[in-house]
Amino acid sequence: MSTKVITLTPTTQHARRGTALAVALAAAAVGPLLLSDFASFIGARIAVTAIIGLSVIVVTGYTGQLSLMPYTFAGIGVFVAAHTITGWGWPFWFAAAFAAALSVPLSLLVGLVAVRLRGFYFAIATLTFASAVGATLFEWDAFTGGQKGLPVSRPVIGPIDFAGDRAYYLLCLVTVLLLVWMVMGLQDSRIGRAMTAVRENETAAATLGINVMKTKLVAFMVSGMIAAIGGVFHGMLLQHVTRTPYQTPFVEAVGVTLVILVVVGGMRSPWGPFIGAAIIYVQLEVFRTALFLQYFIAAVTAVAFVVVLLRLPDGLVGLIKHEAAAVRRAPLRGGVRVALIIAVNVVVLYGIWRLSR
Amino acid sequence: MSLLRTEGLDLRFGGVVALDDVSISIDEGEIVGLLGPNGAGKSTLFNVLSGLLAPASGSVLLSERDISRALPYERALAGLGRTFQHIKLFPGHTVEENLLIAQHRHLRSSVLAAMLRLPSWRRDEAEARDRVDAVLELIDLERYRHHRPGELSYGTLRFVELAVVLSLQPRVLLLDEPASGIAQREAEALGPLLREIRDVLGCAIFLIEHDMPLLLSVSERVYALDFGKVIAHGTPEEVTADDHVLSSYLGRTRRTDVAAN
Repeated sequence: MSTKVITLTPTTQHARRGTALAVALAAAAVGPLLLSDFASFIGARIAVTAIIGLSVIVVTGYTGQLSLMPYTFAGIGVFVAAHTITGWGWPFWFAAAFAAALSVPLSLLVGLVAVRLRGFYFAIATLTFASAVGATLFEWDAFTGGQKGLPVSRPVIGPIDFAGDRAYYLLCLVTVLLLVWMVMGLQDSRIGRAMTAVRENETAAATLGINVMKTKLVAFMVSGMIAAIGGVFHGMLLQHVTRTPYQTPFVEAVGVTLVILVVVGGMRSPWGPFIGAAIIYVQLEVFRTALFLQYFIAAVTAVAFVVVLLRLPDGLVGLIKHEAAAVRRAPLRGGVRVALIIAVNVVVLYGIWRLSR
Repeated sequence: MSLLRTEGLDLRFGGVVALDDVSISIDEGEIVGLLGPNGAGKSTLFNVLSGLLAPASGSVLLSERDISRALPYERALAGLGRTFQHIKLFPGHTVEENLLIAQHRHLRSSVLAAMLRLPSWRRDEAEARDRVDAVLELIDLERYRHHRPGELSYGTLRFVELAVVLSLQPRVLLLDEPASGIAQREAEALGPLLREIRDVLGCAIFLIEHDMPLLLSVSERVYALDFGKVIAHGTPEEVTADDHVLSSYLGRTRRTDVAAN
């Protein structure tokens, strides 16, 4: 295959990519709103999961360190939201900034130990700390509200009340897009490049003046801050929060599930968590009522995941980029192909959903 | 005053003497060669200079400042650049991105500045891109800008590696066999290129090379190493005339040449 076929100049390529992105985002923004409150709730859940997933992008996708404590930092955000927004009447954005700041002492403490470790050992260290924080900080009844948990209210900004699922969905969507934009900026900077350099070759990075430990520590701290912000929005989504999901054994399980979701979406792109969360939550909702299919679905999901691991190292983002390139090379053939893929998926999902009613 | 200097470096791996009382000195803007047979300790010396190995005793001085305890990244920030015998690049990044990674030393913008795309980040990125353009032009790699290392030939990768380490704008450049694995024609072009790099960047070059014509033509001074010991040093003519060097190195090269033919 020759590369000469791609005749678009970079600028028009960018323009078209921008247009495609704008269309996709408009569809994401309007779609759930047109469907139902419940669809908007799912949309908000996808956006919130994508925020917490962005923390995985920075520390695992960019820096190559597998952290299994994203939900520990999210837990800090969740309970900070309960106290500051509902208890003290703070605006949500201030609560988010405060949660991010509060995550720093913990990420610094864990990070200073963990960055000395590599691979497995780093992952196990974070797992241990996740369990330890669950057994200490989240056992503190004054912070987490004990067995009963705590209520969290959704924000009101001036005349706009975000209590409804539709309005709250839009708030979460705007937030995740803002954070994706910020992480993209990070990716194109001195520190973002140091992170990916460290992932690929620590020795080469060091001989080019990159402080490997500090880079890992910064990645871990930025990741913790993003997860804490995600936690604030997660708390407002659920409106009532308890400590159980942030303690052993759930915190480990959801941490691993989040990493899987990010890998499926694409670990090297800030869009990965968003796409991964969308696919997984839409599929979950469609299949929720199709109990007769549950074993079949579990098997298909497992196979699909293995296929992603083997064939799509960059996840669904990689697939989308690949198909987009095919459309650019041969608009008609590529376009038909993409339309067919989408149509088959929609028909299958819709069919299962109808059958199960 | 010497730019890079070592004093009595000693290093053993078990019973093997890797470096034995090695004292060398390189002046500003000088091109110095390092020759010796395989296993003589040339790469080991580079690893000690760049901080990847710690010597048992002795010290490394950059501009007369003792950097013996400095970490590899601190030495790089102080202006010590190096390449490796086995090319180390970032395979998931394009040539351009590899060069941008190497700009780290010259950039300042913070995490927050990058995330919010503040003016300081914009200035940083514009400067970095200008420097990448300049290096790509100097090494004549413009046409490979958007290629990844896996798509390029070994010979081209040698030049990419050179471009990466130049992006650091080092004061001393340690080159570990830059001509190995590249075509004869490219190796012949390397000599003038190294001189041009020295003139443009004003850096000193310390060079390990098995391509003797290249090493002898480009170096102003040469150190010869055998069994971890400096056995001779001086101008290329002096060193190649030295009895120790003839028996330990050049003699052996001749024999293998005969065997290869």
